[in-house]
Amino acid sequence: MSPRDLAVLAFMFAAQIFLTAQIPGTVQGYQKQGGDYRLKLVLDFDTFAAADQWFGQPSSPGRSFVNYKLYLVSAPNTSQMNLMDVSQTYFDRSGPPAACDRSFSCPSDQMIIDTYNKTIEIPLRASLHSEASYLLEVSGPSQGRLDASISASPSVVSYDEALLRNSLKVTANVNLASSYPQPITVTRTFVGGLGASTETYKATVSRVDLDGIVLRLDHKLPATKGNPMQLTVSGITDSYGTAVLIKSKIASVPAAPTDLTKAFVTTQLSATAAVHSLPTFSGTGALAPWHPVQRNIILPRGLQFDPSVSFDVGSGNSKSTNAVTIPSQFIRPWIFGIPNAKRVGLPSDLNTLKSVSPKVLNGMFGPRAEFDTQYGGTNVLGETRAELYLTSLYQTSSFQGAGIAMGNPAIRDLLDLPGNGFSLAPYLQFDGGGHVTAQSITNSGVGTVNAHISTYKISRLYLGVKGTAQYARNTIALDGSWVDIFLAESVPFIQNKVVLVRRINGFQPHAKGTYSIYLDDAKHLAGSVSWENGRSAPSFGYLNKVTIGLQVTY
Amino acid sequence: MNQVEYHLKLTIYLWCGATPVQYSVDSQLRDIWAAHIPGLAYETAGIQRFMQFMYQDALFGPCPAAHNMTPGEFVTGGDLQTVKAVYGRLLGCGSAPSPTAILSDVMLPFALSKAAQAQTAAAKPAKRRKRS
Repeated sequence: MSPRDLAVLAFMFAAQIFLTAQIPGTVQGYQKQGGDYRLKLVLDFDTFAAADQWFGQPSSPGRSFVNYKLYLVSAPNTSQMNLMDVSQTYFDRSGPPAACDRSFSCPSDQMIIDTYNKTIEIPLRASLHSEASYLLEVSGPSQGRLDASISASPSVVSYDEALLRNSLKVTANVNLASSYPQPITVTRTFVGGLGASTETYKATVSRVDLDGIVLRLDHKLPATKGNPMQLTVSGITDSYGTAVLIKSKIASVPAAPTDLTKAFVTTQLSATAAVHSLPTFSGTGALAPWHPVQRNIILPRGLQFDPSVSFDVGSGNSKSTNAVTIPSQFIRPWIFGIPNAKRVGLPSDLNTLKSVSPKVLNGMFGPRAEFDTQYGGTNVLGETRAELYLTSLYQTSSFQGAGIAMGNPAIRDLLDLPGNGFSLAPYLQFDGGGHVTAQSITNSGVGTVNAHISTYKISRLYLGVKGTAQYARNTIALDGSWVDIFLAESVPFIQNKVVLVRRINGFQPHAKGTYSIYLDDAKHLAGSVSWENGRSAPSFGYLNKVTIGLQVTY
Repeated sequence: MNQVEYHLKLTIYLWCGATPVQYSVDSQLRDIWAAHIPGLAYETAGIQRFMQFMYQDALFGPCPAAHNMTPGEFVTGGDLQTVKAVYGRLLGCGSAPSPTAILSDVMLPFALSKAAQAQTAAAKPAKRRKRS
């Protein structure tokens, strides 16, 4: 029998031992980054259930260097797997054999145990190779064997919310080189247009942390991509100069919801200052804590509970409606246009089915409250609203992107999905209830009388359309409606500094359009221009105004 | 096409109107939903409706494997993201196929219908030409 055959037999024997005598546990072996840690190997036993037995006591086997072995694994995770004991090559056993507690001053050639962080540092003669796989073994006389697989497993992660777009961290279980004379290259691969495309970024090492190397990119990664970005980092090497190719997926900076019905908060703020007049401030928007999809409250029978508050308030002569409104809170969608099961009788029928375009009727109902913040009137109503979504009128970027992703699942994460689109949804809304506060508004001028408003019943029917259009950084939001006021409503208004009461009924149009251009890629901040024309509840003052301001969406 | 495949395709069709030619076994359920249903989020309405139609199905309704699925498994990061994942879980609802059959089904669950679709698609243009 040749020495080679003997070696193979020994490896197979060792492998058998590992397979039969492994202790279940989750210890992890890795090297920290940075030049100071090139010759250190860390065994992390933080999540290991029997940590105290193996490492906690002075006599525990994990505290004695003689119980450690390191194997080089060839053909890992295959039936051809071989193990070669490389402890002599890698372990630096020149120091004391027992582990030193980190709370004391420990020599660098001694094993150092950190009982707080539950790690043990093992001194090495040579750093681990990135292209190799290793097995670190700890054996105990009564405990059996404990092992941890170690391979480079390089990856790229986003580590800082504030630097998502121009900074990445490269992590690996082996020590990587800390400095590079040549720029490192980061390549983003995506599928757009006719085929695969790439974008290349130059990167430099800006910092070395214990858990990874921080790269600074020469320009920013794209934001608001629907899919994770596929990144390849080349130019990174281990401490021997061997290239380490890294491929990872990174989520891009998320976008603020462009569909305001999914936003937590949206506001438009504006201010005006002029000579000989007081500054004027105004704010419009909505606050909806349970709008975002991840916070949706789903009730039985397909109901969704989604309370919100919308406001339009201002100071001085800002021409705001000065109202706070709580619209209906319950949502129940109905889907139409899908044939029932009887139309699909035989399995073969499935293959001849015609594509359909489902329609969604979003029903909303519940109590509604309107508060006049200027004169103090309150309306309490019951509201029923139906919004109709048709496929032909709903071509948002997410709708189009889903269609592409559905048909191309293999390259779904590579697709550069569209960011442009539009949606239009007609709606019908009925509000019925009453003005529940009798008001007496004092006029302080000489010869004027107070304005009195008694309680009255309210009945209104709205027919309108709302929509959005999005093109790159530009968004247009529209909401136009006709309201038929069946029962006349009394509302206060001011004329020549005297508060008067007007009665409103019949058809009243109202339209509001807002153009926004986003200032950041995540689409949270935008400069906006709004034009509003017509009368709207509860004040029904005639507005024809343009507001320029800052729009904030989260 | 086996029993489970037929019923799953039927469930998906009744769920959102997607026909089998529009998606593949690797397609994500959220993509299928979002590409067909305007204005309704998958997490809010899609998952709930999928489970509703799965329970209404004659094969899956009484099947414990279908009832063992939870809405959380359909949310991003859960185990049930693709048609294939759901199919794999529902295989136990079929008429007790052998382990080998199950394995081959998981690997190529939609192969037969794809072939049929290709034939159908090839036949259609010929018909149109005749009419014109």
